[in-house]
Amino acid sequence: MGKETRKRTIHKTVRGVGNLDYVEMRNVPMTVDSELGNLIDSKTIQQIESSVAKALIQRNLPIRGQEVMYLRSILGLSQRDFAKELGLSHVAIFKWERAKKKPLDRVNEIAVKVFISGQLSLKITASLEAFVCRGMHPKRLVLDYAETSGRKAAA
Amino acid sequence: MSSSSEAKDILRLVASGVFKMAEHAYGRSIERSISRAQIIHCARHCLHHSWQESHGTYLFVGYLDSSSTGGFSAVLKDGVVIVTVFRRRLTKWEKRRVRGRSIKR
Repeated sequence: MGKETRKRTIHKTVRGVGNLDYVEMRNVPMTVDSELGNLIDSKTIQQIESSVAKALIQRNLPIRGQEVMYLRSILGLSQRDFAKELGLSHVAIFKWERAKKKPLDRVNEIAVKVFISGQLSLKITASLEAFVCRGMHPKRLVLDYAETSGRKAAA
Repeated sequence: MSSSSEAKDILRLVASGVFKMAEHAYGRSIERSISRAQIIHCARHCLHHSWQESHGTYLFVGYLDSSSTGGFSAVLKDGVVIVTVFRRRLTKWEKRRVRGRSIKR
């Protein structure tokens, strides 16, 4: 018989989710493995990715190049495919992503937010006017895994 | 179980989204902007795999999305555990293999 291993779950804080240095996800569950260290389940990763994307859209944060890159990668789209969906050239997406900290134009911001909302099945309750962010980017965006997953279960 | 069938099992499980990631691998995926969807895409469009004797893991190389290439290394231990992820260009022989097989991306 193989030796029995006890599995323990711990909760940790993950910083810089999706290479967005200001995003912090608290209480991320991980199982402790004696050989491989802490392990994160793929469903947990999916939950983290979608809750960060939802927060970016629903909290009406400005969309810049680095956010575009993050949102595109969680959908598993290449620059070319993403551009096709938005009716733009892939060069436009490349230029957005290259200028990491530069906010998008209003029209492009709305297009990206509406497209991502559709892909993540988010409800758009605000008018398009309210969809455009005019504020500054936050220094920190702190999310709680337990809260985001709980909200999902309740819905 | 032969090593080849073990590798195929890993690919099948990752392709269906059933895997775990080591904390180190998750850190690397954040650093290298590789999402869960891209890892799944890589498993579905894997070009080749090999057993890494020195690390005791399988290495898989493929397409992360329709244009970028990379891969991951994984072990089979109570399910699939991904040990690390990476981006890299295809080597000459990998490109030749793609042309030869005319792989649908």
